Amino acid sequence: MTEEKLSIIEALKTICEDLFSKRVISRVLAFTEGEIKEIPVVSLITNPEGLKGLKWDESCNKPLAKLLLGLKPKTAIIARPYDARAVVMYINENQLKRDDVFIIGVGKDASDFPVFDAFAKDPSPLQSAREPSPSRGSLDFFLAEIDRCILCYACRQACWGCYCPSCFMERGIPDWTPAGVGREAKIAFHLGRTMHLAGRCVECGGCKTACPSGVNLKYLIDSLTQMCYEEYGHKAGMEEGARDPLSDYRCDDGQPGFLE
Amino acid sequence: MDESELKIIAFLCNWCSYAGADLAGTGRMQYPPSVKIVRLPCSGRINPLYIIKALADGADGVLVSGCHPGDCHYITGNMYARRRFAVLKRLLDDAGFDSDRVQFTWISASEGQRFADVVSDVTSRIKLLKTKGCEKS
Ligand code: SF4
Ligand code: SF4
Ligand code: FES
Repeated sequence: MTEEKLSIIEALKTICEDLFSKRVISRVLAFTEGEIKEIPVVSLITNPEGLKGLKWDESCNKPLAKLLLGLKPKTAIIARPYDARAVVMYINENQLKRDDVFIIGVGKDASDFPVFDAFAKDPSPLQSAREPSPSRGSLDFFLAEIDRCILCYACRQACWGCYCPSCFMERGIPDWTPAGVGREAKIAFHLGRTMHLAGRCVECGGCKTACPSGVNLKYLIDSLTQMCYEEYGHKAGMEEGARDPLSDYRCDDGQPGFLE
Repeated sequence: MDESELKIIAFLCNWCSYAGADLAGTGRMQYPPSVKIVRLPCSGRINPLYIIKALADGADGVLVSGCHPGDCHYITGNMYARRRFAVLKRLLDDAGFDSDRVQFTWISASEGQRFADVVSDVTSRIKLLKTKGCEKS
């Protein structure tokens, strides 16, 4: 671990110890050293001793925010910008109360965070997960990715935004999916999931890293993210109290592609 | 290809577009027999998954229509619908599907002729796509 990362860990420890001693928080959601050096473990630290194994480097790249759901207050989360944005989305979608979370932001610039309660500077954070895709609009590319998908739902489980207790894919009535794990079912899953994330993706890249088959369909979501910004001026999780673009409207919205 | 062989699912709002289709019928206006109509209370009640499922289950095309903006029976249902449909259309394009297979429009209860025209227009577009597709494969 580099000097830089070690000093971040020290800063995080100081912040958390202070919070524990002042009884501001009762637990911290963070990465700790695991049995295998390269693979960090996601831990719920409940006392200052637990902070010993705290870890912070490039391998700590899993989005954590989803794990906040169902936790008792008050939990601190060591958050990258996308985690903070997910927390804002949870607050906006009434899944979490602002007062129940303590956000310890770690990033290059505090202005990348829509909200935070404490901040530690990381001069060289992970790169943004957004990448341009040359494949937009190619059915061949899309179907090749679809054919590699094994419908394991790891992408859905990783996504902060997919928190429904029963996903549309698992409903019997109405049955949204053609039977089996054929192309049709996989297409229905990915198009349906992408629709549900329109204007809600916080660009954590979790869906891509989680996939065991290396499927890359995030470019579809990225394109809708861009559209929602350009058409509706919306950026997911950047503003407390904002509604996501598909739960909102303006009377002068455009209607590109509609019949005259 | 015969137009009656085409399967186009039309999701119509009860208050305007369905009444428009009714008027086209009572007025004995001619339009292709390709559409199968599903009546819904409002265009805002049309889940994009309906459209995805219709296509996945083999429909050649989908037509969606509701009351004109400002005329929705539930005031704002079609305002929400408009965003949903614009986003869905972009998604279908991005995935490489011909988004021409999915058409959105507004038809009021008095626009029987417009309903007939829209169905003819959509049918010929989708017919064209299908014959193009046949040549390719
Ligand atoms: S869709 Fe992917 S990148 Fe976007 S929030 Fe969900 S897991 Fe993260
Ligand atoms: S994680 Fe990959 S293989 Fe699993 S459902 Fe998602 S895209 Fe398909
Ligand atoms: S009632 Fe017709 S669109 Fe809402």
